[in-house]
Amino acid sequence: MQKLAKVDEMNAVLEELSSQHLKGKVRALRLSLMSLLTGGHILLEDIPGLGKTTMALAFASALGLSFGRVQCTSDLLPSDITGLSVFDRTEGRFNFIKGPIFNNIVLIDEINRAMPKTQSALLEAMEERRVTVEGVTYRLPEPFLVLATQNPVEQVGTYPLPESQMDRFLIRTGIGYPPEEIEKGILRQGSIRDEIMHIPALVRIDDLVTAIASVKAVYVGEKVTDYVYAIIRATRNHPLIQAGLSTRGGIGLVDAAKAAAFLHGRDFVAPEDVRDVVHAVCPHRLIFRPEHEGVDKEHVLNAILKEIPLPLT
Amino acid sequence: MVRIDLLLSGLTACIALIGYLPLQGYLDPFARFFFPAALSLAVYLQVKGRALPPRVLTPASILLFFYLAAQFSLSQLVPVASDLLVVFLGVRLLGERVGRNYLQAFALSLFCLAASSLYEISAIFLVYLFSLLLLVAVALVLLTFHVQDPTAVLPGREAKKVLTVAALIPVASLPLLLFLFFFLPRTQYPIWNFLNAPAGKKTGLSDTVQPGSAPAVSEVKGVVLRAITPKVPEQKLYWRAVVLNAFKNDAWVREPVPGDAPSVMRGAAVLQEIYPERSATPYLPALNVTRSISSLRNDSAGDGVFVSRRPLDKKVRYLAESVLAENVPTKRIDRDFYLRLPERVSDRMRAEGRALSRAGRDSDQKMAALEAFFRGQRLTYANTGLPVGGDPLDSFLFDKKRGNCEYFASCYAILLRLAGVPSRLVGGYRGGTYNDVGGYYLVTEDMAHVWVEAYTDGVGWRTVDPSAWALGSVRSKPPGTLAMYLDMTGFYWDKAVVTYDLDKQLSLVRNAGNKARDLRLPPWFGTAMLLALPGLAALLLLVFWRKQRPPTVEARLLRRMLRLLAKRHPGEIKGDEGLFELSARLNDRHLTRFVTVYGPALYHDRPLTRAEVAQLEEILRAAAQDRP
Repeated sequence: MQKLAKVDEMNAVLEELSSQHLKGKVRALRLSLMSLLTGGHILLEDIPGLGKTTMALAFASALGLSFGRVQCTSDLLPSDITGLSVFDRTEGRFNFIKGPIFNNIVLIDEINRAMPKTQSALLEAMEERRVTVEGVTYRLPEPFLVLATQNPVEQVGTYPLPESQMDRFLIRTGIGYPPEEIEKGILRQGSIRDEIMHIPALVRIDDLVTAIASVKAVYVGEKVTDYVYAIIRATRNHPLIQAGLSTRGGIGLVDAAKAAAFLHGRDFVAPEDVRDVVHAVCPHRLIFRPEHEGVDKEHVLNAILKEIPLPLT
Repeated sequence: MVRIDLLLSGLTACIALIGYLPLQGYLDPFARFFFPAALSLAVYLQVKGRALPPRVLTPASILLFFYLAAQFSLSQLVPVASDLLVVFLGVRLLGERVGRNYLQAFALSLFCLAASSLYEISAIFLVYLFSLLLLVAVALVLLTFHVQDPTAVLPGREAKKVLTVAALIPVASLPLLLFLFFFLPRTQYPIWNFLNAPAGKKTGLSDTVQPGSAPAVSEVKGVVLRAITPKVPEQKLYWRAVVLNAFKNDAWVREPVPGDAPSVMRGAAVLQEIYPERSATPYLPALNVTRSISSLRNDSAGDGVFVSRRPLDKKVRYLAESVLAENVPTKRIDRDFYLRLPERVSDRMRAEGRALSRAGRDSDQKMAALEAFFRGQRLTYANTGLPVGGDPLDSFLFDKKRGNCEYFASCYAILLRLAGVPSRLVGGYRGGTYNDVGGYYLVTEDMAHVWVEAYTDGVGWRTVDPSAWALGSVRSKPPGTLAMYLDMTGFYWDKAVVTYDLDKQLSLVRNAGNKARDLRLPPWFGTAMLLALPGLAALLLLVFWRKQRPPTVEARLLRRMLRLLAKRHPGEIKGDEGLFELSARLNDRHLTRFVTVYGPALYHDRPLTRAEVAQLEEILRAAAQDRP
């Protein structure tokens, strides 16, 4: 098996971050990196104070990427994200001031607090990877990753993302509380926000771009396609589910699986890569029947996966 | 957690119960009640954690022995022995819970079960035997634990393992047991009955009919026969057994038939395969009118009665051929013989007979008039409150007006004879419960019946059932489904086991052997067979192997690897993991090497190259030799 380009560097970043700075967040970090490598976006859904922002910051610094942050409120306007033209009296013309979205990694905090208009402007930028302001189109930097967070507990004064917009996020995941020992260590150590600002870049942007290209080249065979299709079909025919995975969902599943295979150092996708990412990629795209809304999506998904054998021959 | 001593005590109680239950019906009342009392006391003692000391039990045993042995005589050999066995079993349960006592209890239970087979062999015996074997085997294994440490306690999973293995021992020996059971010769009757007296069972049928001998007839529900035959219309269900044609002390009896010309039955025959129960009379019942009986040596009496040449004191089977006809065509009879009257006939009956003889010229008219008379009397069919005393028939016809078939048939036949029409009684059974499951009729003793045959010139004997003219004759309701299934089980037991004849089987084998010896074959046949047979066998093996074998090289290699892994990491392969996952989890170097060759080819959608196959074979060989 020939060596994949830059796979060691990527794994080294993960290793360094999860062992030195962000203990107990391996899974969220890995999923974020996978989103970045496939050009998708990630929605972190968890209560405040579990280190979502810290993670985003550290992630950006370690990869040597620029970082922008938007704190959403109900009066946030689209131009607050994209930027706007300001009249420069000395030069006598409008100058475009770029908004926070013109960064490699953009942290959108509490996305569900923004009003729908702003949300859709943001989602459009995520999808198109460009922003049009006053008739001029600006390309967003490459690589580009939106890390949105949302608090699932507080519901007052929020505009929850509709399912169609959730579909735009490749991955949705939680962070979860760190394990006991690690949390005790964090308590002893105190906040590491300052320290994080000074993490040296572990890779160059070129490396990242190369890695993204190699992820794209990861081979997806017939057997794996069949397996993915079997999962999609099962979600569509499941009695509890009203709308199963869309084609975009299926593409997302394959993309994420490619990134997982890449991180495992393989130039082809194995079925276990697909199964590895199903729980991050699929649940937020499934719409359950109204009478079954309380059902745990993960359980249903597990039951579906159990029914479909992995293609081993 | 499972306490061995509790489990052992429970099993011993069950074993003792299995010894006692089959014998229970034949025990002396003392022994019958002593055992449950002892068992209850033993349970109470077990709960309290105590036991009766030997200084109490030994004298008690001696006293009980003398009490029971006092009834001993040569004819009472087996009953006394079984009482003693059961009583000792009860005493043993009360004693201290040590290995010796347990073993004695097991042995006594086995003896009790064996003793029960002296009285009765039925299908249920096999059930008892198998349960006892199973429980004793398990209990013996537990006993080995108990002897080592009387307070032994096993955790749930271990206990389950021990019990399963112990239970497997008798289960594994079951095929051998069954083989021996079918192969070894056996008796067709319980040994004790054979030693003691001929068949105890008697059917409700007797070869004399004397109405008025008892005020009530008790209904016995014993089985008389089972007949495999297609369903027959209900009104034709008469089973003919015996014909009574003469009188002796005012009772109907059977005398040798005087020169009747043998009747020739015409019409479609109904074939029956009949399994009668043991009976004291030698008559062979079959559907009315019986034409012939085969596969059991018998004599035909000419009036449709068939008599077995040997007593029916064991279970037999025979084939009967009947014609469901109303008449028995007979050319010529001895009229005087069939017109004889009993010594005592009441005046009222004689007057009625005279009236009848005037009523018509030929038999048909007389019979019609008699039927009108019977109906006019408004007689009731009953089994209790029957007329008795000096002249029961007269009382039946004119005063009490209730009686059973014997009264109806006797009166009818006597009145016919008074009117000058030859007549005779036919004894047998009326009705039958059809077992749809087994496809056979079940005839019980309470179906015993008597009807009449009257002679008409030119026609022969005509069947008449005067009981049918009774008011409100009641039929008992058919048994439930469960009863039907139970009866069927018992029936097939008799059919397959009890009437099973080893001699016949052997002669069959011998005949087949003779036939085979006489077979002429071409000379090349042997050689050809010698060549063809191994070839055929090899072909079958090949087909089987190809069917078993995975279709592709990849699948075969993977299966070999997975089998090796299952050996190297027992219990760790669950079969729901991908290959890379598995190799990461097990950290098995052979699997890792295997997967690095196998995985890329598989998921790149290309077949393995020759070199890769060789490499994988090499890995498999290395893995097979490398014992972890």
